[in-house]
Amino acid sequence: MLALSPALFFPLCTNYSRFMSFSTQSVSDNTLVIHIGETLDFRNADAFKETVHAPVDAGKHQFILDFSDTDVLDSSGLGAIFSLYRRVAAHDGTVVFANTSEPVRVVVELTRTYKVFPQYDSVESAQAELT
Amino acid sequence: MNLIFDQTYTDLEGALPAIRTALRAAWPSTHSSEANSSDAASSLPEADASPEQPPRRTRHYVQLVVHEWVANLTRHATFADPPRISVRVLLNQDAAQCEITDNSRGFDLNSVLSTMGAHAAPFPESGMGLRIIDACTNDVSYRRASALHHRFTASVPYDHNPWMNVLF
Repeated sequence: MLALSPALFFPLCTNYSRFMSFSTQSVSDNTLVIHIGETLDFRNADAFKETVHAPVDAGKHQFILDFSDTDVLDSSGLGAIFSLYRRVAAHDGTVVFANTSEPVRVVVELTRTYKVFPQYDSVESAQAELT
Repeated sequence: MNLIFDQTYTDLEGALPAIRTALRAAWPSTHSSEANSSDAASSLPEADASPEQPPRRTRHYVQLVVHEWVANLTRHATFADPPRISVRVLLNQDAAQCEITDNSRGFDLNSVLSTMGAHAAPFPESGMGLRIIDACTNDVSYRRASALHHRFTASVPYDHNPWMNVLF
């Protein structure tokens, strides 16, 4: 049996900078829309948390997550949303989903998280419900 | 068994989007009753599912399982140089079979799976990937395939309606 030298193994280092940014839109004093983009997964979950921390600290406690362009939501992405939820729940805040794409709905239904994150057909309908 | 997908990747950063696009293209045409449905989890009658017309939701579960496993390897595995991952998807009469072979050092999946429940917490920020795989699949395993390779295998039954408790 062949034995591999440890020197032949290496942990992967990857550059995920192209996944890092999220666009946000303030729609009221305490409501922020986050356009998730194509992917929310392990590559940009930390960037998502960094994006939402400052607005939460500044008093935004209602978040509308727009998944209209989202092809990937994985466990790390869902974990980042849970992190946001725990922060805003401490202030009686809310996280809602809008425009959930089919891959996102699969994860939402698998984890039954629709019980915590109300689902809306559009950002506008979510906004109307929150105001 | 129909082999619908068989690709090898050495650029692991680019592997996930490439797998997603290629697997979507390789998946057989959607059953007409699902084509117009907006409900991702709508259930194709089990009797109508086949290797030629597997349920669309099965494709989503396969995509999710492959993503979670490759993401897990990318983040945690120690690979040989150059890293290599081979992904195969086969469709049989009642399930999709996933095989992912890698040249990492591997790990003991069963011991990780057996301890997951003990550390479960509501709204977890991490540790859900393997639980998602476990929920979506039957017969999951990760074993040494040769002196240089380990292989993950799992099946996603066409009539599967998985769920996992993260809310408590």
